Amino acid sequence: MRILEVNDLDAGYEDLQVLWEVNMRVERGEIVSLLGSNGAGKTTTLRVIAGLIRPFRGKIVLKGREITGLPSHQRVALGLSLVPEGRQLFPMMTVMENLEMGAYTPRAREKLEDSLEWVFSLFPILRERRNQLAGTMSGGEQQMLSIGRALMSRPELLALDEPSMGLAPKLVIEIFRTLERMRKDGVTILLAEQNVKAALDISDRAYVLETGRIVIEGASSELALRDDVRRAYLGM
Amino acid sequence: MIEWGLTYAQLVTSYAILGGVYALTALGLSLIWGVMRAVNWAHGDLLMLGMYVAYWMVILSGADPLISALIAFCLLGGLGAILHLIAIEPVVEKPGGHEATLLTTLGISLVIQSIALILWSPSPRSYDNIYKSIYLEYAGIRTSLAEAIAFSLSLIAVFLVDQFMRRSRIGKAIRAVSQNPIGARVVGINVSRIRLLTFALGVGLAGVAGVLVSTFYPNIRPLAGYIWDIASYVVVIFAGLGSIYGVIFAGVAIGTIEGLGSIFFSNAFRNILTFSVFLLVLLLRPQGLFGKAMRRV
Repeated sequence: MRILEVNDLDAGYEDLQVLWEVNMRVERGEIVSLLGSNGAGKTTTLRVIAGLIRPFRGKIVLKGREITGLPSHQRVALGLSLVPEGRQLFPMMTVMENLEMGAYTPRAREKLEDSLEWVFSLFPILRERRNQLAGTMSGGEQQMLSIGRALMSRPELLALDEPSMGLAPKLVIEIFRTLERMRKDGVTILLAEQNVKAALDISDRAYVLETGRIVIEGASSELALRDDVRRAYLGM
Repeated sequence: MIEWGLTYAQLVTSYAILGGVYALTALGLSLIWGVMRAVNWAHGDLLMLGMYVAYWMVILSGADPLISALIAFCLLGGLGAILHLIAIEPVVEKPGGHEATLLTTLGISLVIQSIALILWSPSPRSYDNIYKSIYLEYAGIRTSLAEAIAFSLSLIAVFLVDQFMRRSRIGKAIRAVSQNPIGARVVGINVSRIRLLTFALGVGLAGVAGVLVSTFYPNIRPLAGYIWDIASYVVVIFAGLGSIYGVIFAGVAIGTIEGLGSIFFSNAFRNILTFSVFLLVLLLRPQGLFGKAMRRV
């Protein structure tokens, strides 16, 4: 069953067009990677999907319902959450308060206790740090908190914008393993990454963006074997 | 000598009490600044409207000014919501929108002043009430009950707002938006609704401050607002963002400094001292005395 469909998307900022006729789909239960180098349009794609910016043209369909014009908070209520670029935590709030804010929508608030246990089981460090101010944590912990906060909204589809950015390789592996556990718990994942190898390793399918256009798409295992992908993104 | 000392102490006390009201007006301003990075130049004029609410309530219905404080909170809150939709919301997310709010709120300020001048004439008014005829005395310093009430209720209002910000769902959302608007949007907060509520709350508080001041201030007139604008902005800068108790301290401190200024210079020059403090704070500690230098994460 299809959870997300993006059709003929043109988008950008002011008079700068970044995305050109982007088409994507994500099936329920998948991990889908959105790959590409810096400036290829990954962040813009996720921002349009999450409703942080309006597209110039095109259509976004979530669970069979068109959401192109819907404001971001209504998309969260429908089960679509974004772990944004740069984490975007509430720095003067504690870890616990950040997580509580994650469960802001009425649907999520009902499951607050349950969700907390779930997030703490995925990221045990957050339980230890629950009274610490988010702004004082290390980059890796902040990334976990940002993912945890997004999970608190009980998303059916979680979009992550470069969760590996600025993190040590060991932490990247840890976070990616947790993404696989989240998938097992029923969360569909759309993962924008520059760390192409790690992303291809855990995803089922992948899209490659180049200067705002999807240039390659297919099963991750096949992409990992393609010469053009290996040369351009895996340095081989 | 002793009598002089007492006069000084008396003056400083009166200004310190005024400082409590500064804290309340400054709180509204800093909430609005925090959530939408907008400077509300009409804040003092809305406080002036609060004064007139109390005045007309007494004249028309004989209502106790303390009841008018609640009425002014609702009336001005409602007006604040309307003004927000006219002057802030249409521009705030556009490029250069924060700067644009300087102009739109200045426009609102001029419109409010002009309408008030047409309706109520420029001549100052005051009204009689029981609170200003009762005096409290401590160690030779006299205060009217009206001033004592204005001071205490201002601080109570600041405390209540603080509790609201800490405990209620909307209060937490307001804090979230001021700490990180993008973060607020991705957790599902309707940011434009929070902006509306915050503006209404800030303006409502200005209305309450206006009512409290009107009980002892003999100078209710359409152009009374700007004095409060200046003092409240200095308090906001002095206190820094994110510390409600800092606002109380800064309010009383600025009031006291004004009092000292009126003693050592003349009443007309008291703003010079206030602005000197203002400039010093900006130079030495731009995040304010209590504000934490905020870092986006």
